[in-house]
Amino acid sequence: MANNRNAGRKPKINAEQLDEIIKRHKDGETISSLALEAGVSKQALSKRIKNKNANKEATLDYYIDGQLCTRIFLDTSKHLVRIVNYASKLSMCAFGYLESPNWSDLQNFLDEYYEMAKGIKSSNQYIMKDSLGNIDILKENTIFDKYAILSKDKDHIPNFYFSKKNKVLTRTDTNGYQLKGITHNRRYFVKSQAIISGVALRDYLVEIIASNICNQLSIPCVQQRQCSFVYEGQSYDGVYSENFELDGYTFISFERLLNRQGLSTKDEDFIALDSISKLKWCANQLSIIGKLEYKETLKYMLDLAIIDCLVGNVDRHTKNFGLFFNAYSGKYETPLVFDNGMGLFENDYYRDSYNTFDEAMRNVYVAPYGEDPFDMIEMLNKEFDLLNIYTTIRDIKYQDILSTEHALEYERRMLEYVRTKIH
Amino acid sequence: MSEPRFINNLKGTLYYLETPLLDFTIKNRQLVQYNDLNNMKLFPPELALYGISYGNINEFFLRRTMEEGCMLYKKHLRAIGMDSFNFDEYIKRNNGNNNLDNYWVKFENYGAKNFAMLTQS
Repeated sequence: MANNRNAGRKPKINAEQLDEIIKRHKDGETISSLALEAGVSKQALSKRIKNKNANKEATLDYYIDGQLCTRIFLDTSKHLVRIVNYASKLSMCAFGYLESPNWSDLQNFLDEYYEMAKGIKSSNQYIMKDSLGNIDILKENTIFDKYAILSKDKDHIPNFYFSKKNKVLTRTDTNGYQLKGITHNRRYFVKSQAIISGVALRDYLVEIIASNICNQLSIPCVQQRQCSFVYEGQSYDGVYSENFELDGYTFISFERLLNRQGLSTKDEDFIALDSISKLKWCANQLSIIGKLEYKETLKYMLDLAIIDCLVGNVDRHTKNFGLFFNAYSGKYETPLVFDNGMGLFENDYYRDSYNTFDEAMRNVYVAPYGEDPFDMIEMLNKEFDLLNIYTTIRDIKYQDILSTEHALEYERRMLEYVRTKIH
Repeated sequence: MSEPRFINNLKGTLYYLETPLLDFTIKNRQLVQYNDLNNMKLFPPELALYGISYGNINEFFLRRTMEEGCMLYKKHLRAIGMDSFNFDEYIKRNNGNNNLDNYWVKFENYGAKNFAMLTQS
C-alpha cells in the first residue's frame, strides 16, 4: 500500500547520513560500530543498507577500444535490464542481436567477461574494472556503481566449450580438418587446430602470425586470437575471431561465384595463363561479378598473394577467397582476408620428418598459381612495385610463437629476401 | 561423391533476425507460391541478385548445409536427431539456419518462433 503522506516514524538516519555510513563501511568500519555511533541496532542498520542497495539502479558502460558501444541499465532488485546501443554493428553491441536482453542474458554476458578476467576461479563472482582500472570482485546481486567493462584482455586465452549437443557449425565450402563452432551469442567463430592423420598441427599459430602481419601491412584481415576449443572433454588449441556474419555479411566463395557464370579455374584457358595473368584474371572476374572497381579487387587479390607468400600458405583454393555480400546494402564488397593458417609447414603432418629445409619446401607453393613463394613475391614486385603499396613490407616482423626449425628458417629467408629484393 | 540435394516439399517464412522476408511454398520440387514481404531488402545474395525461384532457394539452403564427408558430419546429423540425410528434414530441424548467419525459417507447426528461441535451442 503506498505511503503517500509519508506517515510513520521518521528514520533516525537520513539519506545523506546513510550514504556516509555506507562509504565508511566500504572503507572498513564494521556495521556494529557504525550502528552504535548512529544510535540504532545492528540489524536495523543492515536492513537500511540492504534496502538502500536493493532500490539502487546501476549502470554499466560497455566499451570497445575506447568507444562506448552499449550502456546497460540494471535494476538488481527486480532483475530488469534495459540497454541503449551506440554501435552501428551488431558485433560491437554488448548483447549482439538481442534488443531486449533479460537477466539471464546479462549473466551470460558477465560470465563471458568473467572468463576473460585474470585469476578468479570461483563461481558467481564477476570481475569489473572501474574507469580507473581498479578491479573489484563482486558477488552475485551485489550492487555496483558505474563501471566500465573494458574490452577483452588481449593476453588472456579463453576456453570455449562445445558438446555433442551443440549443432556443430555447418559449412559447405570447406571439408577441412578443424572443429568449428560458434559461441552462444554468435559473436565469435571458433576454430580448432587441424588434426590430419592423427597429427595435431599448429596452424592456429600461423593464423595469428598472419593476422599480425596483415595488421603491419594494413591489409584488412579477420583478427585471430588464441583460445582453447574444448569438445567432449578434450581440449584443442585454436583461434577465435569476430563472426562477421552477425553484422550481415555473407561470404560467397570465388568458386561459387564462377560457377554461376559457367566458369572455372580448372578450364584450360586459365591454367595456361602465367601467374600474374591468373591473379589479374581473378581480380577481373571479382570486379565484373561484384560490380566493384577493378583496382579494389586487384588490391584484394594482391593482399592474398602477399600474405600467402610471407607465411607460405598453400591453401588458397577457390573456396578460400571470394566476396562479401552485405545484406543491408544488397551489394558485394571485397572481403577481409581470412583462412591463412596452412602455412609455415603447418599444413603438412610430415613436417617434422624432413631432413632439410629444401626438402620441406618441395610441397610449398602459392595457390591458385602453383608458384614457389619466393619466386612469386619477386614476380609480384616486378609487376606492382610492392614498396609503393606496402610501405612497411621491409620492416615486418614475425611473432615469435612458432619455433619449429623449418618455420624459423622460412621466416629468416623471407625477411632477407624481402629486404634485398624489394626496394 | 555426395548425393545431389533438392528440396522436395517445404513451406515457411524466411526471416532475417526478426524481419520477415519471404513466404514460400515448395511442392514436388517446384516453387508453387511465394510472397515478397520486404521488397527484396535483406534478402540473401542468391535471391537478392538472381531472383526468387526454386533453383535459387535451393542453392541458398544448399550453400549453408554441411557437406557429406566433412569432419563430424555424422555427429552433426545425430546432434539434430537424424541418422541419415534428408534435405527437407534437415532444413526443418535447423529452422533453416546454419548456426552462423542471421537467416532462418519460421514453420507454422514446428520449431522456433523467433530468432532468440532459435539461438537457445
